[in-house]
Amino acid sequence: MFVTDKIPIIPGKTLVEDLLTRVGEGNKDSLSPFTGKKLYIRKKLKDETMAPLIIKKMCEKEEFTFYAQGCQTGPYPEDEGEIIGRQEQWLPSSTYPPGYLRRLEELDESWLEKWLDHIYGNVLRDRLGGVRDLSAAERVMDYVPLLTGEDSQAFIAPTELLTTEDYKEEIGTSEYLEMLARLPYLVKRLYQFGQELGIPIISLLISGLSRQEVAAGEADDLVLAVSWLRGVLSKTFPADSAGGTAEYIENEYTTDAIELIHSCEKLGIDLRQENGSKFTKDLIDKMTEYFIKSRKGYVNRKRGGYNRKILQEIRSLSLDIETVPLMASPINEEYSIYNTMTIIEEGRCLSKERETDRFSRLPMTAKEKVDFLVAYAFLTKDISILNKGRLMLRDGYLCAGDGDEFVVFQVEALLPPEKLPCYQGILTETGLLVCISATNTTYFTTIQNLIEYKERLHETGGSRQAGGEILGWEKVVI
Amino acid sequence: MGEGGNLKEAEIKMKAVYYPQVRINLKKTRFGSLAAEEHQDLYEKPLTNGKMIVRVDILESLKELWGEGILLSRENIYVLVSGEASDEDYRSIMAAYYRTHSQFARWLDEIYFFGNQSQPLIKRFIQDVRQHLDESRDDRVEQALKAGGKLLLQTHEYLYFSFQPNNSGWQLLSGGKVIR
Repeated sequence: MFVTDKIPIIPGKTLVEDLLTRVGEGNKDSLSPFTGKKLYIRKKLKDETMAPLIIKKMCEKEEFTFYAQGCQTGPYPEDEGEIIGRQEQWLPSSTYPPGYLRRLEELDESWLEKWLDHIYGNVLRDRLGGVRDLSAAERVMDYVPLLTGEDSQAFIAPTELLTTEDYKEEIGTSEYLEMLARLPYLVKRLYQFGQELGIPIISLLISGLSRQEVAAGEADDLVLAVSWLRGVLSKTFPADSAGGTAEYIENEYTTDAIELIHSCEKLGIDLRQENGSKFTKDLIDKMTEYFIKSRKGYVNRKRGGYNRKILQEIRSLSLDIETVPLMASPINEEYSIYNTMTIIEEGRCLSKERETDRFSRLPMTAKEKVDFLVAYAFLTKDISILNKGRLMLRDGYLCAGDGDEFVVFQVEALLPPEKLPCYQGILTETGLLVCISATNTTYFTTIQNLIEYKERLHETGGSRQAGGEILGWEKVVI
Repeated sequence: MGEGGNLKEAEIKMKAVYYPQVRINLKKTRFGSLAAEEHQDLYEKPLTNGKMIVRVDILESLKELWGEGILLSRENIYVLVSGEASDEDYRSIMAAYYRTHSQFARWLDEIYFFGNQSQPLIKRFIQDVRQHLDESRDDRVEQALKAGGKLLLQTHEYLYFSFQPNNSGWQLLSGGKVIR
């Protein structure tokens, strides 16, 4: 016979365990009359595999505390105001219910669910022994394949990979943080450059690095990438060139791109694994906002904020004119052409007979057009006009391409000095060569004048006079 | 624009359109705006030839950058883009706008943090603003000329055009307003 002086622990289900481990209505073995809550909890779970763990954890919680949340379902038969005073005096023979619960059946099921919600939340959030710990204890270590080649079957545990801390140790924490802080700046700068050029520079950079890797094998990628960048990013077309000659210019963006590659290499970021299409405007905007707001001294406000450092800089801003050699850019050539067209139109519309005679002419013939082009090429020694391809008349003016651009003639050499500054001209369908002007004054001559002059030179064998009045330039002012 | 006008020069002397006897001297402010020294209100008066005058505010385009409410005090914005104020006034205006206009502050933050850091802040500021203004000016000039308008004058970031009275093409101009 065994004798014990302790109260024996009788194994058995608790009330909560009974509720959480069954579905449907209770039966003779159930400890409570409520519907089983197993499905109720499972519906809340995003990860089904965690259900047994969570239910186990919930079962360990102190039970019967849900009684404290209970209330009676039915209305009090008498005045509620008097109940509180009568609670202590309640007797089984009383005709009104007590102010507390006497039986489990009196508990409302909705309150029971509310209580389950509470402990479910507590289990999820619990930092010590909660779901986080449970899942960590159950986790199987993921082995990642080594990226040494397509056929490689080698795997490595994540703990063996280099981590952020390793890189910090390698390059020093302050330098690491500085590099990290400058990454958004560099990415944004390259994005801006791409916007200017109309090329997705970041994608180009990633694909360029990948190509270098393929081509170079085991050579130093960084050296190759830098030389590649200098070759591609720096290759810009100066504005005044006709698009034919490229110039290599070491610009600020090239430096940024090289710094980005350096930083990524130091920080252990493999740019080649990045997806260039993810660098969208939205991403860059978000990154920019985060970058600006994370700066020290940023004042956060409901309707936007500002940076104290910038404000201080503004207050002591140097406005020295010498450091800001800026001028308004001139109104573009297209404007000047339209202005010239307006002058001609207004000149035509002038009511004076003399003006009407000057401008009202028949359209030039195809032969006249060809003769003029030859004469122009002869007089200006510029034969490029003959290689311009198909020339057509559009909206009353000679145009190239599909009529999208005006044919611009260099007339500087054909004008007398006093009629300068006019350097370029356009040809009307009526055979007038008109100087392009941004003012209300311009000069024009007829193509017949030029053709005749060229023929005279041919006949006499004489040399061309520099911009003489002989070409019959006329002035028009509106 | 008037005779003798050459926009590449720092100072432009021109004969006023429709007023052959009037000479206008346009000078460039230190940050690149064009401003007539005299006769600024020449085209605020009705023309004798019956044409209507449309005034386009180039600064309206800054609403895209700095928010809709930025032109509540246009004079201040003109000071910022033209530099036509003492250094102290300029700085205080810019600081005030930086503190009170969130979109302006965000824009300035961007050029401060993401602009070319080898250049001073004021240069970055003016370059970006001037480029934006010049582009919008060219757009409006092109629109107006295509609609049959005639450019009369550009001063204090305003453009003046003349249109035939029956021409409604001016309505396409962003920021355009018939004044006479």
